[in-house]
Amino acid sequence: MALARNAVEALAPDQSALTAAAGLLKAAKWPVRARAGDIVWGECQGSGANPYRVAADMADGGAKCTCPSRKFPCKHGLALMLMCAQNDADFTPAAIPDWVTEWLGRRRKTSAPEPGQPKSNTIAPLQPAHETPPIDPEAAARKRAAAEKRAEQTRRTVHAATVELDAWIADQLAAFPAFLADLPTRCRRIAARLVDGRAAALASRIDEMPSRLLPLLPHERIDAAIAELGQLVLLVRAWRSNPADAELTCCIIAAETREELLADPAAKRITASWEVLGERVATRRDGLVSVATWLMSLGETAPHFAVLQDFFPASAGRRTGAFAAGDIFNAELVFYPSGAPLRAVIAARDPNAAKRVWPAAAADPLAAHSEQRLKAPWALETPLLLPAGRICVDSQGRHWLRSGATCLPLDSAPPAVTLGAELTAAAGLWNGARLSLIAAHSNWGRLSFGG
Amino acid sequence: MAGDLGDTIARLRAAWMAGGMARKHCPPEWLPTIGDGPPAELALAALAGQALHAVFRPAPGGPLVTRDPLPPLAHPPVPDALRPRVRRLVAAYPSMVKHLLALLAGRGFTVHPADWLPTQRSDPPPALYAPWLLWVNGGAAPPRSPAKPLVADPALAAELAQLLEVVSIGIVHRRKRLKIAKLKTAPQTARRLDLFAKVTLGALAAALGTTSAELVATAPTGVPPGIAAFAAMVAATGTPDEHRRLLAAMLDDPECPLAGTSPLAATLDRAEAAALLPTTLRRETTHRLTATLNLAGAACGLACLPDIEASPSYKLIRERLAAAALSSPGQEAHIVLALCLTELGLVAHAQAAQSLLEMCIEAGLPPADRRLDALHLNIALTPEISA
Repeated sequence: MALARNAVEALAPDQSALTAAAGLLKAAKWPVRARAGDIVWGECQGSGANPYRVAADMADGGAKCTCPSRKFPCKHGLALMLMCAQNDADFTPAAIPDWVTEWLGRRRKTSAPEPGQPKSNTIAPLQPAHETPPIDPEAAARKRAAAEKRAEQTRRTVHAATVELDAWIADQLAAFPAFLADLPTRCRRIAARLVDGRAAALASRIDEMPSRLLPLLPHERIDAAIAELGQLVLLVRAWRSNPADAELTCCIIAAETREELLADPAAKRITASWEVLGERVATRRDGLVSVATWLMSLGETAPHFAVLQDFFPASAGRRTGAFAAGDIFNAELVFYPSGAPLRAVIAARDPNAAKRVWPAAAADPLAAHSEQRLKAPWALETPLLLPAGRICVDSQGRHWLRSGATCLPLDSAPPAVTLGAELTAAAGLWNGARLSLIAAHSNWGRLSFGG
Repeated sequence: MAGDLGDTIARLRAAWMAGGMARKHCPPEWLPTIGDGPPAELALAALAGQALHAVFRPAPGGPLVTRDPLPPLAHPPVPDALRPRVRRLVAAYPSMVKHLLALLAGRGFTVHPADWLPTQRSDPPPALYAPWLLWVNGGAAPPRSPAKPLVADPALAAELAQLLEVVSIGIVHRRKRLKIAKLKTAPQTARRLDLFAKVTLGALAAALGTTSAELVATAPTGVPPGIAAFAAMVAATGTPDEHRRLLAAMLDDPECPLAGTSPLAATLDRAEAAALLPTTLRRETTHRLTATLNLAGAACGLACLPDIEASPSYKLIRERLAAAALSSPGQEAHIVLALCLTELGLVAHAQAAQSLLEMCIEAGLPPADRRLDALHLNIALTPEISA
């Protein structure tokens, strides 16, 4: 017998989880809700770019979620069960997907909680939703004024931090060999100052600079370091001349929230069939794990690229993404503001894709990189679609992709099979020095490259 | 333009690497734009960085070498839908890859090269993978193991004979049996094993005062490592008929360990290997099917349900299934069941695999449980079963 509402409430680990779950009881947040008997599952669009996958057993209250919360059940699990207890007709009958079955196979069944016996006697049941109280115009105006004052204070603090950054860049250029020899320490020091100066996004970028430079060969590292410092100069000057610019604010301070982005009528939106090219997972020096899921539009027109960016604390353990490389779906993507928009969130998704063919690659794939550098000269990498080619090896054992008239060095040794494959098209990320291949089509079918 | 710009960038780079100011090395026409002092250095870094990215393109310093295309094999790769299971099996059970390849080959498929390619260190794959092995080795044939001496060395054979004994057995039908007894010291044991690797069957038989035919007519007795070494010697230096006769003798003798028999199966064809499955399955004594799989070779995927059910392994699995269904990954019951189900999945006929799968699901294992990967794969490789 499926749990009733009060039994689900009794499962909540604390009041805040239950309250947060109440905020998720909206159909719009759940693009997928399905059930098979007592097993229910869904996808909940959280603040991240990838939706969270949530499953629950309505027989005994067991739940599983891909969010990084350590609470059990988390707000997503509670919300899923509450919605099912309220009206299971909202859940589409469907076959249990593999990711749910795998969870079912691993879990140990627990006994269903007794209804009316909450885990903690400090948790109050959810109250029925009340009508939103009328807005007080004077209170709203005071709130706006306070927010503007805080924003102005932030701008002044960040401005001062960027001036300090200028001085730091000049110092590094004046002692360039020492800078190259001591990248991690020097970058970490200025990053800490930028964090104090509320330029958190800029701080992260500089903190990760050693991870971008150190894998390069010494002679390549010199030019790459010059380029990185030059990009910082352009970025901070652009921001100082227009601190209200959304793209520059995202690069210097922090990105706007998903909700703010979706509510922005000026945000660029593209509806298309998209293929998941692959994922890039990296553990940052600040303890966060960055998960970047790269998408490419399909069909006959020139490709659009998009990246869904999520961050998890490394202590949360390995997180599985919502999508697998090669997945294809129709979706409306909303892009964060940029001269060359890439970072996006999914506004709506339909698993039935109209188009399934890769677009044709341009004859000169690096032209896309040059164009992006003009529009967003501070961008760290450019996604490229490359025409037919082969992976080759130079006399020093380094791997290159020879694609048409273009030869690009790869960032790492590719899988052995790719050396013998005839690539009909390839997609990867070019950072100015190295190409990181993500996926390719070949005479051996679709090939994936590790991140 | 690129040439002039390249020279300018080189001068700027050299100035910074020398720890000096770069402004005095830039073209005069840049000076009004970049200004003076530290801001000029920053401006030059911005200009140089942008030029490096937007104007210059990478070029290899010398010729680039392309490998020959990886050749297709006689069978197609497994369908894409089955590749996740194949990948998981390859990753989880590297020592069983050769059996997985044999199962696939028996059903008319190969592994996809993105999921597995042979290496110089991997177990020899089925002959059908020879073109890939050649490609992996850069077009050269893989190094062969040192050939056994074709000319018998009587001195070594005599030395080995001193460490062995031939006894007569049987009352009505007198036969010779090789006895490989436990030796007193470890160096003697090691020396005997070394000699087995160097002496031919014919030379040994002569040194023992008997014939090769008599030596292979009965299963040897004694310590298992010695028995395995003798079997390997016969496999390396005996005739195919001698291989078969010794293998049959060892399988017929319930006292003879099964473990050392696999080198003798190398010359068996698929039908001959399949005919041995009922015997080997019955002779296994633990939950593992290692000897059965090693002997099965190309006959992986042909074991029938009655033969599987007669094996001690199957009985053990049935006892453990209920407990293992509720165990967690990392627990011993979970691991043992995973190994057993994988081995059964590789050796069973598709219909037997279907019955085993149904038994596991009925016992409480979820259908998508990873421990059932081999059974699912086995069934899916036979379209009439999986349809």
